[in-house]
Amino acid sequence: MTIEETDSGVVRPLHSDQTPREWVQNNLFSSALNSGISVVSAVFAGLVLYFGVGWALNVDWEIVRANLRNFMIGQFPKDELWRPWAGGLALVAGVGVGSAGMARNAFDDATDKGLSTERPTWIGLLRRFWPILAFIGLVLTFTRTIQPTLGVLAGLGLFVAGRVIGWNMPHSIRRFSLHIIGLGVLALFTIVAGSGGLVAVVGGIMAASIVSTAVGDRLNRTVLGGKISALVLPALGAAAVWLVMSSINSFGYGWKEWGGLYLTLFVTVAGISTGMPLGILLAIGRRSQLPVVKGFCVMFIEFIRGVPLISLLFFSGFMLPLLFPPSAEIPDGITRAMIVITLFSAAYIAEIVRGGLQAVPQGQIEAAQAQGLSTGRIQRLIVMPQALRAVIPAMVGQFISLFKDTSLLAIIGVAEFLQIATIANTQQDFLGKGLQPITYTFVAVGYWAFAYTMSKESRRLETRLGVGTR
Amino acid sequence: MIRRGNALKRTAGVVMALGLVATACSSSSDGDADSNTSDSVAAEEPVDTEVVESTQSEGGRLAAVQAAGAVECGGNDTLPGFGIIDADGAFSGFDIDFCKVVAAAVLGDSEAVNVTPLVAAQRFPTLQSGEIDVLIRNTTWTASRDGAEQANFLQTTFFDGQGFMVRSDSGIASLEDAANTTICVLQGTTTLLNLNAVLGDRGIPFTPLEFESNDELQPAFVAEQCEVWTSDASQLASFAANLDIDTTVLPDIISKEPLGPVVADGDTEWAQVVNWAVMATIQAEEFGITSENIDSFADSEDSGIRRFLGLPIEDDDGNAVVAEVGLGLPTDFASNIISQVGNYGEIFERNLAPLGLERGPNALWTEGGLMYVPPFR
Repeated sequence: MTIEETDSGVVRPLHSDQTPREWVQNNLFSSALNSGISVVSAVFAGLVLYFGVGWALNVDWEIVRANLRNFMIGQFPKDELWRPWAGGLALVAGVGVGSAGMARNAFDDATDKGLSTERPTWIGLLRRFWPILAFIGLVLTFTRTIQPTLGVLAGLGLFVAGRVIGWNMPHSIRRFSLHIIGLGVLALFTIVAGSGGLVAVVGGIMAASIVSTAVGDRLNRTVLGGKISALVLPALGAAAVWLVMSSINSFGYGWKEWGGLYLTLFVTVAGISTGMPLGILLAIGRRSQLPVVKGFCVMFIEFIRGVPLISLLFFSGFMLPLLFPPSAEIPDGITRAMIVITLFSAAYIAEIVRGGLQAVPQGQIEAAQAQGLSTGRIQRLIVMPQALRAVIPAMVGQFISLFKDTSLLAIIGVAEFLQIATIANTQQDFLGKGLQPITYTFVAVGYWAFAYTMSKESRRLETRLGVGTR
Repeated sequence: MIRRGNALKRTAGVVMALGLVATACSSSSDGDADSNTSDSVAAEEPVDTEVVESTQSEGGRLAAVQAAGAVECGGNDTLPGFGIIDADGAFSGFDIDFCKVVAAAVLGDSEAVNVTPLVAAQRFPTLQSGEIDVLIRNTTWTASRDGAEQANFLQTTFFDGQGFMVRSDSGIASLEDAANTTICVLQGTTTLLNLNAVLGDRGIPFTPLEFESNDELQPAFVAEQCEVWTSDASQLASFAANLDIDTTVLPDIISKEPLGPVVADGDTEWAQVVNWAVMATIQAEEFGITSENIDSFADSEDSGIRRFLGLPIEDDDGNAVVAEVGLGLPTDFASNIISQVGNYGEIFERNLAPLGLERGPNALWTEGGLMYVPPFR
């Protein structure tokens, strides 16, 4: 990138005031060598594109078309399909409202502080998420009925409406933006997986968090009564939700027959959202002065990091059931695999976070202590924001590799996204016809769309938080 | 100052310890939650988990399956003809049909079956742990599996053998011609063990090229990464039918591969139930009873057929009674199997004939094959 030194010594890119012609001249044909490289690269890229697109347009995508439902949701029963749709729509609406609310909060916050900031735009959103939208579009071209298209349109409508509502809702509601996203996730869980057990726990945690946000500011925590009610009220809320949710049994369908992309994404999200808090705790624990805590964390992290994920999956899939008596109720294979993936990513996240923690100068902690901040507040307000900000690239890299690692579930007989390609190729209609390139291309495009979006989001977050520039 | 710092660090440590304890607690409650979830799922079927457990201790697996209302069957999801997931997301195949046979016999409903797809290495651990009731996943009956794996092999449903496939223009006409070639084979199978043993004994040098699945092996064979493809003859036939290249299966069959259902050791009642359910399909073919014509046998005069289908027979006193064989199965189990799934021939025709497989050794004994079952009386 061409840069220039301004009078004030600030380095800034040039091309904002360039015409396209100048840009091409400066960047692609600035010298004979550069011109040569540009031409060769252009020819190569053109050939790849030409043959790639030519191939894609000429092959028969029937195998993907016929197996589209398998690719998307695996063996989920046909007459229960409304569940993932309804849950997905609830999630999309929740994410729309919540994300817009959070964006508005950040926007107002920045405006109050007199910082220059930009309102989020629809074009901006499109730019951020075009790979996923393009993939959804591609999938819709393979559908044979109108329902999926209608469902996606409904989802888009809900999302847009949610964004508008979220942006315009009053501040008193906007405080709960994150919780609204959480409620979307909870709705998805409840509708698809059922309302007992896990959902009750997640719901309880949500309730506790909502109550503590709602009453938190009004409590006078310097007095004992305030301290106690800050703990008791959320606990009561959590207990109430837990009781209600776990008493409504057998509403959902469970995830035994989940498969395809839905399962891949679910395992990824579950792995990230539970692995990250666990990883942060492990990282802090590893720096603890208490030998037991430190020893446990070091042992856990080093054990998990010292063992290949495949062997852990094998252990959970094949060995674990043998350690229990046959009458014992142990979680099914998918749940066990999810636990393994969560623990595995937690160990890696812990080491990444530890790197970030070490990057925070000791002086900051001492300064905070001098200000009289409590240990918890030091961690929450001083250390963690800086530590996590510093490790965003590594962290997102870990998330992306976790997303791709879910394809290893195939070796323990779970029909995740990649495995469906294999399954499709063993069907009588497609067997032995050498259609693997077609199915694997489709799967690769799917993985790419999500992984690339994650990577883009990480770069956006880095820019916004100024990683590397301050 | 230093002391205060230490105290703070110690406090921090305590906080972290509490955090960890909290995490541990929440993860253990996650565990509870999971079992609750599965409870709630199981509760969709009219089951009480406690009933399952108590009956399991008293009546064994048959009672447990009856209480659960579904047969848990370990199967394959990527073996053409034997166990696949079709475009509708449903399991189908020869082995899967025998899962349905067991369900039809025990529960009277061939659809009351949950198939768990298993990879080869998973089969016996899953069976031993009791996660599945029966394993029907192209599993070869061998002495060591019967012994060391605590598996109980039942009536063979398919007699296979390990064969070799080459390109027709390769000039290889027998196993001896295949010396110094590369042979494509699947990992972790008896196929690989047989290959090493037999070719080693005969002094034929070769290079094995191992693959995780046939799906990956097939393109390698087409791309001529190996000259020879060895697998069960049934698999070779099924792939050959769809390959664009001309292939020949060599006359050498180097192994016996009897494939059939497997249950865990130690529950004779359940083993007998599965065994007789499977054998009923073969007996039905011998009687000529199919899912199409079974109704016409309702007034059959043949006492053997009447007994088989659970129809009343006149006893010595002239009373019409239904024979009770004491297996713990309903008296009309064979009739349920045949009307809902079909006889052995129908199952074979439905799943394996489309792959280009002949009955061969799997024909009835009356037609020169090996399918022979004890009498149903």
